[in-house]
Amino acid sequence: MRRLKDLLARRAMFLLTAVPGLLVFLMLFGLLLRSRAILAFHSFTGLLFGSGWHPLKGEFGFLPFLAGTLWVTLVAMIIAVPVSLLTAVYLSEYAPRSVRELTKPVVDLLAGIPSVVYGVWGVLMVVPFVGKVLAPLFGVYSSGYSVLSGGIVLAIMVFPTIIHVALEVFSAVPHELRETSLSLGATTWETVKHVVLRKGLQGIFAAVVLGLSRAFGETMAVLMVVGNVARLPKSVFDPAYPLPALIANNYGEMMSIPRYDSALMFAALVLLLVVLVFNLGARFILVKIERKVE
Amino acid sequence: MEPQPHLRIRNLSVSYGAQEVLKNVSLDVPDRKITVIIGPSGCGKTTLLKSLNRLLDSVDGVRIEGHIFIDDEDIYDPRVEATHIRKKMGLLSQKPQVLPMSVFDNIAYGPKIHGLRDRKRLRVLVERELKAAGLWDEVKDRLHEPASRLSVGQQQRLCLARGLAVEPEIILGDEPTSALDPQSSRIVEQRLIALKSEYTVIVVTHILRQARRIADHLAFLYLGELVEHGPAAEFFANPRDPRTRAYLTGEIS
Repeated sequence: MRRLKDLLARRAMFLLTAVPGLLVFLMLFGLLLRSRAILAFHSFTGLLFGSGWHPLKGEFGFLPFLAGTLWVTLVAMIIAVPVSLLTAVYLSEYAPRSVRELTKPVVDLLAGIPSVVYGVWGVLMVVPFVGKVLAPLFGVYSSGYSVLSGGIVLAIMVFPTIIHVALEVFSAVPHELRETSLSLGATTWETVKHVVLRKGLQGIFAAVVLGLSRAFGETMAVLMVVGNVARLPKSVFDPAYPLPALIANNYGEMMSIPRYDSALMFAALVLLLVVLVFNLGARFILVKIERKVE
Repeated sequence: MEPQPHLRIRNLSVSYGAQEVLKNVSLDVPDRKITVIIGPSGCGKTTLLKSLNRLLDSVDGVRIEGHIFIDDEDIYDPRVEATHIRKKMGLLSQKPQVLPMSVFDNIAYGPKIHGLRDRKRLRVLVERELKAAGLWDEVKDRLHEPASRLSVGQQQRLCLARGLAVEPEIILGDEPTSALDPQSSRIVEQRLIALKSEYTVIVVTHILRQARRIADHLAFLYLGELVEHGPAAEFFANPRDPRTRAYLTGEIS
């Protein structure tokens, strides 16, 4: 009887474990199925790299959206990675314990703020800042609804993820290792640069990838500040239209246009594929780093 | 009268918060000898060692009183830079701590930080230190492999060589053989004995037999108090304090 229970429990848990693994494939399959309608009219690459978006004329080019997603994410990471890593280094290596213990929960709190709130805050503060201060500084005109605004808001949303994971990573570096470096006459900064960061390289990379995944998929806050114009952005002051925003804005609205529904399914498919490719790439690099550092 | 030793500890008290770890310790450490600090675990041995190296600076809530003089410089003088003090002392920790880099870079790390950039001179220096540590033949073909792939015994000898590469005056060992097998322990002990002709060596241990093997001078710490210190022969033959006698006979440990 007890062994039967054990067997049942094992089987049930195996099933529960298998479901999420299979779910990704189910999603891929479902999206592919629903995108068939549009794939019958256009080639895969034609859709992906076409830059014209005129659904009424039956023209569906996803390049502006793909570029929008990549631009906004890139800008966000360029801001977020150095800022959050340096914050984490400060907190773990320099700050007195009281400051660290006070800051940690505040940082984690940032992660819990709903993204709509970030979006509203972005519209109120970041958009005017970019439009009225930064753009004139560079001598360009911008409404403020731009790649840069999206990137800034997104960066702030990514901070807590990277800071939190990086702090965990740094605290896993043995204290004695720091003492070793210090006792050779190194300064704290030299110790951080050559020993702590190096020892934690894998973990830091993982932290960045986690942040990146969050940035790719973030929809609400970004769509509120990027302007949502289906054109290829030429600079960070131009508006953009990331993939998640396209789907969220239009799903259920424009369904009377032929093949629009299928086009959105295709957009979701592309987004999923982009995230998968980045994650696999990250895995690959992680393994390489692992071999190098040990 | 004997000349004044390089390293003098005067009225050193260290506490973490309300807990007093070292109580008014004063000790002259003889030059070019091995001074062994013994005592039961938790008696403040490691704290004493770290205070010499200013490694306690970064500990939260630590309070340090008293003076430590190297030559005539008080290392706790606020004008003194910690890195400058630490360079004078090579630290060998309980478990070998190899830096996350190659064998070569482990040795070259210190000299590089102190401004030696010339590749050729670095190579000469690394080879010299590894030969002195008796490691050269074992690792000469693996210089660019991660140091973590060496055996634990090799790692500890590497750590010692790395410490010596910055040309310290004093070597501090914090139970340097506690993670090693008997064979490797013996090698490290012999290295320490060989080094006392040029350096002042201070070793913390709780292994009495090791103290007997290597010590020229002994200091016995008990509950944060320096109970007794003196030349090894005298210390073992005629301990003056009843607590020392109790420790040597194994009544307290």
